[in-house]
Amino acid sequence: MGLSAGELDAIRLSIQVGIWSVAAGLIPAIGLAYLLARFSFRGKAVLDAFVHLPLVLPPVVTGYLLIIMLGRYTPLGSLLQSIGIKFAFNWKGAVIASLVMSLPLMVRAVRISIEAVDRSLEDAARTLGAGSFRVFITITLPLSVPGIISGGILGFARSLGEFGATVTFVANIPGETQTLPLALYAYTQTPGAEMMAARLCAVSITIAVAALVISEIIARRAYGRINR
Amino acid sequence: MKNLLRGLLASALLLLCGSALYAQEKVYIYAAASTKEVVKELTDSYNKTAKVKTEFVTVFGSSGDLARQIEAGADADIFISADTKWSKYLDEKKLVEKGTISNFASNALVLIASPKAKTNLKFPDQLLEAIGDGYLAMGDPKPVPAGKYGQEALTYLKLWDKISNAKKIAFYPDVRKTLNAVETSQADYGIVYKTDAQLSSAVKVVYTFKEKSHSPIDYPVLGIAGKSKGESRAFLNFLKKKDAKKIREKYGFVVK
Repeated sequence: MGLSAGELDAIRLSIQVGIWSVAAGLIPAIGLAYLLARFSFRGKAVLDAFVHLPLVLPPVVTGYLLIIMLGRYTPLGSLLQSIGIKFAFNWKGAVIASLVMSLPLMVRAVRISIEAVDRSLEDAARTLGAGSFRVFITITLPLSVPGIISGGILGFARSLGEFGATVTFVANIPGETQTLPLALYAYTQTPGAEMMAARLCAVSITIAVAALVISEIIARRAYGRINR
Repeated sequence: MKNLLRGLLASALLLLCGSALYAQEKVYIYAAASTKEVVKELTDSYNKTAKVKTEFVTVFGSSGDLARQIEAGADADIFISADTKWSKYLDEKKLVEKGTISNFASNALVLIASPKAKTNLKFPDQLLEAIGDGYLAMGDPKPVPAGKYGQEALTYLKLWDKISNAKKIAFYPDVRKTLNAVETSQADYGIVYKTDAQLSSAVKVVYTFKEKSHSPIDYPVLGIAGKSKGESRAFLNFLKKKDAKKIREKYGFVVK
């Protein structure tokens, strides 16, 4: 297909951002899902709504809120900068934007899985003397693996398609923050670049389908193990 | 509660009937995002003077998006582009009504500073020093007209290579997002149109780029082929009047 260096950069960056946002987001997502699925506490509805906010807000607004919370001159942003973590206009900022956007999808998928775990199994483990943490690690978590996998893949897919929050938070810098959707958008804005846009579109579809097929295979294996 | 609902319903009906009385036919104006405020005032002013009121439906967005929507058959009567490139694009596709293309307005390009940025240096010469650890926000030069002009101007000033090699430029997909980045201090400086800078009280204009340093910033206006209703013609004629020119000048545009 003969992709240009810029296009290859965008593809590599998209995959890198997607993997990082799942890697960094999955553990908090599991924690939140467990909290929301198994406990009732004050402010649960608020936490639930807060986690789901990026799903309903326009992505551009989420990006704007990220600037307000983690921007270069905000207290939190300056604190992170002083310990060497910089989000402004680099790929780490793109990871943060993707992570925030995909977190609700990961939490939902994991939560449904945890809620489906038979509580009598957890209770049985408890009567045998296992503490809460041990029950979680040895019973709940392994039985939720299919949900965790599909959550991870959903999160990865969401990251691949992330546009609004990313472009607002870290702009569109080739080789640094220009992911596939951003490169694609730039092409649609250029007269005569239809072919290039179509090419990147084909690449996006290929990556997305490959991710879905892989997740399907892994999830089936996991189900097979659980049901054995 | 019931009465309140009834009242609301009645007034809603009244509004619907009322507007139907005035509106003969709707005129759809597709216009570049940077003309939002001025187009609104122009249509209002048109309806104040015209004998027959016209209902305008305005659609704002990036010129490229709008041109592609019109090409795909969107119901547009008038198109105001922020760049002659997209009016030419439509002309090549035989979508422009003959003889309707004219200059809507021209704009200037400015360098703006965020509320937290240094403004006491000599601009544009010390721009790179002023940016320091920070960033310069501008439109993406390939797709965004404001970005293209910005690149031309910085190249003319022999600053482009220095700043872009230092990876100090953050590209945005339109002018308003560029402005927003500077307003929130995410970027320290930005290149936007004079008219956009005028809309924000938070940013400060530190330099106006010389006209000869970039290609002319012209906004063409045109009627879409086969869509020349009486009302849209009348509005295009109205734009040539003195009052309509004054409105554009009020927003910082130059009318040639």
